[in-house]
Amino acid sequence: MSVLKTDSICMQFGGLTAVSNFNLELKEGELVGLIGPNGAGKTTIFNMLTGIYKPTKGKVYFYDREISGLGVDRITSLGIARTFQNIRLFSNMTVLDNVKVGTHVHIKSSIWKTIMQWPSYLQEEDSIHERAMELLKVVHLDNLKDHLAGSLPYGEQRRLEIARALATNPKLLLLDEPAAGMNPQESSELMKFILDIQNKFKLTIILIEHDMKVVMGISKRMLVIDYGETIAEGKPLEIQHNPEVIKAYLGVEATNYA
Amino acid sequence: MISKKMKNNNKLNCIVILLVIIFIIIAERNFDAYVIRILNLCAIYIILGVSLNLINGFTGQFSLGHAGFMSIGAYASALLYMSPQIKEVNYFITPLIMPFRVIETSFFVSLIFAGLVAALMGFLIGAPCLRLKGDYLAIVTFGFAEIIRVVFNNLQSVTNGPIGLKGLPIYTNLWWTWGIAVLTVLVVKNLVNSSYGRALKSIRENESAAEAMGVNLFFHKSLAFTVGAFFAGLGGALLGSLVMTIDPNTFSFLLTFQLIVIVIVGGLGSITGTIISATIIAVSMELLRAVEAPMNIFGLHLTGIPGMRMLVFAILLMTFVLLFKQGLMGKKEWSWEGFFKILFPKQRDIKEGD
Repeated sequence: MSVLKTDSICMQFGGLTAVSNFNLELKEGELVGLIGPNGAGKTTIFNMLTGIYKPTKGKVYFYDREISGLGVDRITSLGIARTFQNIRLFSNMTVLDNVKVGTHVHIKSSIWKTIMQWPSYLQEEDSIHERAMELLKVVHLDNLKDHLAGSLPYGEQRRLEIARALATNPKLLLLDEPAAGMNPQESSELMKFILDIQNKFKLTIILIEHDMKVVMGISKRMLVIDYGETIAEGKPLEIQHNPEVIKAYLGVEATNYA
Repeated sequence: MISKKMKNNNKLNCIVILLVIIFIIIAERNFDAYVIRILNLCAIYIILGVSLNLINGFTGQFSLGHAGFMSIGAYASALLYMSPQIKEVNYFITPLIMPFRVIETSFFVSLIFAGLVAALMGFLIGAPCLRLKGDYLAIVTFGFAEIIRVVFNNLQSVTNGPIGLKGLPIYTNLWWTWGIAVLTVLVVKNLVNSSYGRALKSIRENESAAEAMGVNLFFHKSLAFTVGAFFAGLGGALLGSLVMTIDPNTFSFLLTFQLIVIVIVGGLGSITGTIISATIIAVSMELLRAVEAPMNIFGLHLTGIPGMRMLVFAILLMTFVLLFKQGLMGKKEWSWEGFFKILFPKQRDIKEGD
């Protein structure tokens, strides 16, 4: 069974076609890289998968269940979590509370039990706390749990965002440029970290990334998008030598010289 | 663990509630009517401020509709607790519509009714406003409060129109006001410290990220509006029975404005701050009456100027907001741990050790 399947989805904003006929089928445990020049439509694809946009054409299936058209929070509850290109943490909340928000989607206690501090609610609150602490340990932020999320350095904010996404208990994780703004050493640490969490939480991951070293290093399969169209698909090595890809990134002239 | 900590705190909270009860017993016996009235107002401001803070401070939905909810609560309760005789005296132009004309219930029942009707309106106003943010939401909720005012001015057979209701029986006393104030604080505190509360705060922080984390925006915003409106309704009902006379213009925009001041002075997103600022403002408005009295300054005789206290109050407020940009407490809360850390700074390490 495929984790995710898109059936030629299109996204049009007025007259502009941001994404056209995007097809992707993901098997369980895969890590797929999604690359392309700026404005190619990569984030738009993420927005369609997570329900922020409804595809103007085509359908999205998650474990053979149609999810296009469902609300964003509904899709998250089914098991798709994401991070954002521009970090969107809850800045004025503590690191711990940020992760705890991620667990809210699976809350069992009703609002009445919460207000009356029912024993089962207190128990659940304890287990939420434990789980959030576990996740913070995984991303090595457990010693900063009481700091405000907005006060963390950039790299740690990225990791916190991943921890928050993991707290929703996802099966599919969408990472939108996790290495943006990191130096080479930080990005190589990040690569290791992504592989670690993939193993640990049995995740399927789609990764948008500009840092070729990161993408080529960890993804087994890659898709290249340009002007909303998939121009190439395959193993990292094949992609590297694909003339279409070189054209998209470097222009036509460069292929002639090469 | 958290639940253990909560149980300890609950014990301490019970002691505080007990102290409040003892204080009320003493106050009822010894204080004069003027002081008791101020104490009542304090509690009502706390109820209204904390409930507004839930919507504005914790959920970040800038609502200006609180006076509307209060108005609904005040009228809904008055329609129930007034005796048929008083109703007949009041509604001399257009008779009151039927079921209410003969009904008379206890104050308790009327309070619950007031809260529920206001909560229903809170839900109804919250639901369509969900797509709006910031200034636009403020305008729509402000419009809602105005609509309520205008409708109540014209709905003669229910509200008696602009004449209002007079001679309401005084049921409000310290037990009711402080009891409901404590209830409000407990409910809102339990709510904002829970998983639901974290979801509310996440909406304040970043709506799109909150939604991507699985927070149902519709449910949670409606929740904040409904709970906030419920307590606003209770506050309005208590206020109505305290001032004995209500008309639609009692609950004007000025009242909402005063509550916004309370919330902002206390700190958006701090229950403790709201409690402190509600008390300060209720008391200082009375203390400042001193500046309206005739006085001699350096041999210069000044006759009292009515309204002078509002001017002084405004200046104090401006100074305060300039000094405390985040409000009194910011987003911080009173906690027993923090309190004990201040009291016994040395014992901290031992406590953490075990």
